[in-house]
Order: sequence, then C-alpha cells, then structure tokens
Amino acid sequence: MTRADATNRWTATEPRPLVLALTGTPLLTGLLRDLLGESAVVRCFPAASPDLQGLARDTRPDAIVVDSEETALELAEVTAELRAPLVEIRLRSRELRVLRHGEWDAEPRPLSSPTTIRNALLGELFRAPTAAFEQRPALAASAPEVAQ
Amino acid sequence: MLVERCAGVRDGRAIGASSAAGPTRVAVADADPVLRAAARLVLAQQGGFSVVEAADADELRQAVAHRPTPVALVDVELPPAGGLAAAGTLDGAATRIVLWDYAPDPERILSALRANVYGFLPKTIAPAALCRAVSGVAAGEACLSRELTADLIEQVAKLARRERSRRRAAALSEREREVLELVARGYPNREVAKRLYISEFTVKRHVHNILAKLGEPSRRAAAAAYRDARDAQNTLEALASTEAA
Repeated sequence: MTRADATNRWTATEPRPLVLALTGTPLLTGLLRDLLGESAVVRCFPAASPDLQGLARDTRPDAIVVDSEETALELAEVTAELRAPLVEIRLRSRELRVLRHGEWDAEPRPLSSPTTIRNALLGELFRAPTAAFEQRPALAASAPEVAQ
Repeated sequence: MLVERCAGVRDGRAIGASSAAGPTRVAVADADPVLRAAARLVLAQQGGFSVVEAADADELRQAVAHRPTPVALVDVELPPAGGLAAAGTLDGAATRIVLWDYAPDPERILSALRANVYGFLPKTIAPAALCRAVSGVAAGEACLSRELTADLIEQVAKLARRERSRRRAAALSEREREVLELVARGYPNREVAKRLYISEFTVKRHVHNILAKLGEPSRRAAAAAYRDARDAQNTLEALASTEAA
C-alpha cells in the first residue's frame, strides 16, 4: 500500500479513525479535536480513569494520545497488541515522542507548535493499517476498494 | 509573536463574556505554545473572550499596552524571570493577573496573593472552570480552586503559628536562646550544661523559664515552637532582602 492509498483509506469513506486521548490536562482535549478536525474522531478520558488498558482494548483506537510518561508506560503493551501508535505529549519539556510497534522514536521531537501534534498524529494514522482497522468490521468493509 | 484571536460570537449569538462593548480581552502568557493554544481555544470558543497570546514578559507587556486587557492568564514560569516578575512590570495597566502552574504550592500562592495577583489556577483545570474563573476575575472577583484554597488556609494557619512563636521567642534572653537551640537539637540537660559551661541546675532553671515564656508544656513542644520561630524569622529576613533588592 502506498502512502497515497493509505491516505485515501480514511478520506474516501466513513467511518473516520478513532483517536483515544487519555490526558491529565483537560484543556488539551478541545485542542486535539480542533487540530484533527474532520480527519479523526477524538474520544477523551481523564488519564486518572481506572483500567485504561481495558478501555484501549475495548475501544480499539487507531491511535492513542497521552500526556504523561506514567500513562504511556501503562499503555505501551496494549498499543503493541493493537498495533496502534501511541503519541506522548510532554508539555513541560515541550517534546513529543511516538511509540510504534513497541519501539519509541529514537529522539523526542521538539513540540514547537500545536501543529507538531497534528502532523505526528495524522502521519501515524495514515502510515499503516492497525489491528483496529482490520478488525472493526465497518472499517474493514470500507477499506479494500481504496486500500488495494 | 503576538497572536490575536477573537471568537465572541457563536451561531450568531453573543456568548460568555461578550457584551455590547464586545468580548472581554484576555492575554494568555505562557512559553508553551500548546497550552497557550489550548487555553485560547477554550476561552474564545466556550467563554466568548477575545484572546491575545504572549510567549514571554515582553510580549505580555506589548499585548497589554496596545489595548485594554482586563485579565491576563500568566504562567508562573513565564520567561525570562517568572510570572510574578512579569506581573510587576504591568503596574499601571488595568490588567488583573491570574497565575497558573502545573503543581501550585501554597507558599507560591501566598507570595502571588501578596503581590496583588487576582487568582491562582492549576494548569490541569477543566475548560468550563477556566472560563468561569476568568469571567469572575474580569467581573472583579478573585479565583482560587477548592483544592488550592484548602492548601492556602493551611499555609496561612502555619504562618500564624510561626509568627506567634517568633513573637514569644523574642522575649527570651540570649542565654535562654542558646539553651533552647541545644534543646531543639535533642541534647539532654547534662550535655547542654557541658557545652555552655554552666551547671546542670542552671540549665534546668533556664528550661523552666523558657517553657513559661513560650507557654509550652514540654521541652519537645518548646523545641517545635523554636523551629517555627526560626522559620518565621528566616521568612521575614528573606522578604526584607527581596524588598530591598
């Protein structure tokens, strides 16, 4: 699958990819929705919610966003299972890093503007199919004609 | 890098802090572009404020100088010298400062309130709460979250206790202070006597007088009061040196 095919995967048909945001900074949730616009559905929960792993397993997101190292560590295993990328936003050090296929980016990226988050997330969403993409019937049904 | 945003009207209706005179202008001053954008979005969309962003104290000064800005939400760590210092440079501008921080500590809040700051908020505040807080400050209220208020009350009580101890400790003689210093370190009377080259009987007499003057029932309580008094004195000296600087 080429990158263009992968991009068409989401834009040609509904439903849109699901981004699960688990943050301790509630102000971030509106910003994430604003940044991703029509490109994805963003569902937000407090990072302090119980059983985040279960939440991720059952909702099968296409990407997960967190804003603390503790939450990132808690979800590392689940994201590997789901083959969904995990984007960790480090507000205090103004960095962003991505966990993909069980491996972190070699270097955190500088978080110089909100668009860094948008670009990283969209880049990850359209990079490769996730387990959620293949296993959610509605998504899988809508995908082949544009993804082949 | 001043960024001006205004979204005081939604679905054709004036919302939140908008009025006939237009939306209330709020400056969001924070070095973090993500948090700045997040606060701007919430205040503009949910609160109906007109928002100007500033990345440092200089930009905040410019933002406030250009147009009347009733409220400024300022990061405690705002470059280059922190939010309090930045607030100090806005003297004369009719802008009410609200500081915000990830983990506000009570001493910092107290210093901020002493410096005429209108409120202190955690950066983990919920969007609706942020809008309410900023609206309140624009209307002349102060804002402090419930958790921070409880911390602040505790801090004020601690300061009052320290101040009481400091005043009582001022009644001690030089020799009594020396004895109390050693008692606070946990030394028994015999050791205190040895170190001060006085008899154990004299030490006992001093301890008796110390307890009476401090109004404390025991050596342990007197030692705690002594530590409180010392902390209060240090705080006063630090404040005096800050004011002198």
